[in-house]
Amino acid sequence: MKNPKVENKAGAVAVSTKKNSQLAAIMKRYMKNKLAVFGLILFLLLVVLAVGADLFADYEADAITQNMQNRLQPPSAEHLFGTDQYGRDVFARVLFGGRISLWVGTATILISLAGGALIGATAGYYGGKIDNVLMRIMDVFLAIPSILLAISIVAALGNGMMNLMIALSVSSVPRFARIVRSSILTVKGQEFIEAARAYGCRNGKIIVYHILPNAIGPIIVQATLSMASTILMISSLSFVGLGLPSAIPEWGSMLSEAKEFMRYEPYLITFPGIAIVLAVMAFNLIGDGLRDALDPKLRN
Amino acid sequence: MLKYIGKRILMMIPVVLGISFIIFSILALTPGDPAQMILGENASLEDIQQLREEMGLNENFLIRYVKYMADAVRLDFGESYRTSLPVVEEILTRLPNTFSLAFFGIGLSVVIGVPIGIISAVKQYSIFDTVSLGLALIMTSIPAFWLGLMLLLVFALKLGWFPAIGITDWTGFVLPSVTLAIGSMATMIRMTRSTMLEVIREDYIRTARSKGASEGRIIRRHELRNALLPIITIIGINFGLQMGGAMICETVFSIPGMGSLMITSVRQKDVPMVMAAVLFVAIAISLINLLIDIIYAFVDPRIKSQYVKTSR
Repeated sequence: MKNPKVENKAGAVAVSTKKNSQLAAIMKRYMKNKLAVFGLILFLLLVVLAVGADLFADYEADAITQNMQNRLQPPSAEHLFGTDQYGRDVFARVLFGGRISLWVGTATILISLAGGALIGATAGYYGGKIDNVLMRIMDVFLAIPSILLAISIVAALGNGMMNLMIALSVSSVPRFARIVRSSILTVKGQEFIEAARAYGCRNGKIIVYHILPNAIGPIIVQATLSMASTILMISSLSFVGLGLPSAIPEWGSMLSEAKEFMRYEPYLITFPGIAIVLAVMAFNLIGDGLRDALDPKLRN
Repeated sequence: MLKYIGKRILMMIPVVLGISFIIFSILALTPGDPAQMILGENASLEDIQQLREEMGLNENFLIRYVKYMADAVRLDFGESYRTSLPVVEEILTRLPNTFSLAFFGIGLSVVIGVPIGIISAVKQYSIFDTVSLGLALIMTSIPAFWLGLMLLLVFALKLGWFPAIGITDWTGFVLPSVTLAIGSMATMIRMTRSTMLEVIREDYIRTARSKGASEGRIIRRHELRNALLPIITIIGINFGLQMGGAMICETVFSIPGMGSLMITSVRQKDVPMVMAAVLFVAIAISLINLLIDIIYAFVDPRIKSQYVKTSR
């Protein structure tokens, strides 16, 4: 009984050192890509500003409380981005809006990743009829443009943060399912899976411990790129009034409220828009950079 | 060829059925009683019960779906809860607006994006290449509705060159189309560039060059023709995105299209309208993709030869 354990440990060590060197190589390739590094810097900046938003502004006092004598002030030292029609500080609202976008976006991606991994793994691992049925269902979901799917779900469930997350997750589950499934199909036939099965691993354990780690690269790339499109969708839906309730500082709903004042107060629509562009760009750049770093063959 | 087209049309049926079933199931989750909504707060219980019976709301979910689809085939998509008029009428007046917006957007992005992509690939790593890739990067990250607002601000409100509201004549289409085009132009530039780069490395290009063909002829006859195929696919994929973008942009430019219809219907819980609107847009997109596939088969000699041989 002792021998296999020792061997197993030695094997694990060997694998982990190899993984580390692989990770280092990926990091090195990533860091060589200037645009990708720029994306990473943008992302870190976004995270610092969003997470540390309380250091720069007070949520209740600056972003929520209406202050009518201060309304529609142009940008100044006191109000960097000016104030909106209710006298709220636009800078503070943009910062807290970043927190909302990041939080809703991350939650959405995690939900759809979990759903996609479950469906994709089941389909890829078991194959046959299960695979066929599950993937045809995913195909139909993919055939519906995500905005239509999201609108229908919001129509059924109503506005609100939770419903928005559900609506957005449902439309990105199929993409994750496809990626997980194809990764599983590529590693399924390899010897180490046979070995794990011979060792007595149960199906669920094989999927979670042996197959999914091998699919992690493409999953991360897809998650990053989906994050970009999810942030766009959150703001688009909030802009047309089907996303978050307008009291919550969110970039899209800020733009929607600012619409009627934009002629004389153009700064009101400028800053939230730039925030969306930078956030989306950060995730796009990181996603592209990771894809190139993970698969050097793709670069030309 | 006809066989191929027939096969593609038949393949559309399960997709449309699947889409309609998913949307129908999602919308069936809507809380609230439609009969109560139509009759108002003060309606008596018997009236509500009677209307529920008439509308078939007491039936099992699957039966309701089958009935809906049976009516839908006869182009009866039910009546709006709000106006009590057939929903098809309203949709048919609005669909062309959204459709033309998406169409102009795609057209513009092809006309501008494809040449930029070609030049980028031919002059890889030049300043032009760097600048156009940089622009493409920014373009993919700009939300269409914000770009629309900014264009509206500058060209309609400040400069007054275009109308700010509605589409009374062609000038109304300019700003929304440009807005939509910029979003998909990025993909056009990137895709054209990368497929061109692949084609440029092919052996037959070296052959063409070594037999003395001029550079312009190589680009036009050998490179572009082969690079066009993936570009056509991208147009198809992008069309769905464009319809979605157009629906959001309509709110910015106050255009009466499918987007504004869906948004107001969602707010008013007008389920038949939402259902039919989503279904129409989804089917319109599938039809465009079908068209793209057929065009593809005509343009790509490999697919064409497959079917020409078998039909002979």
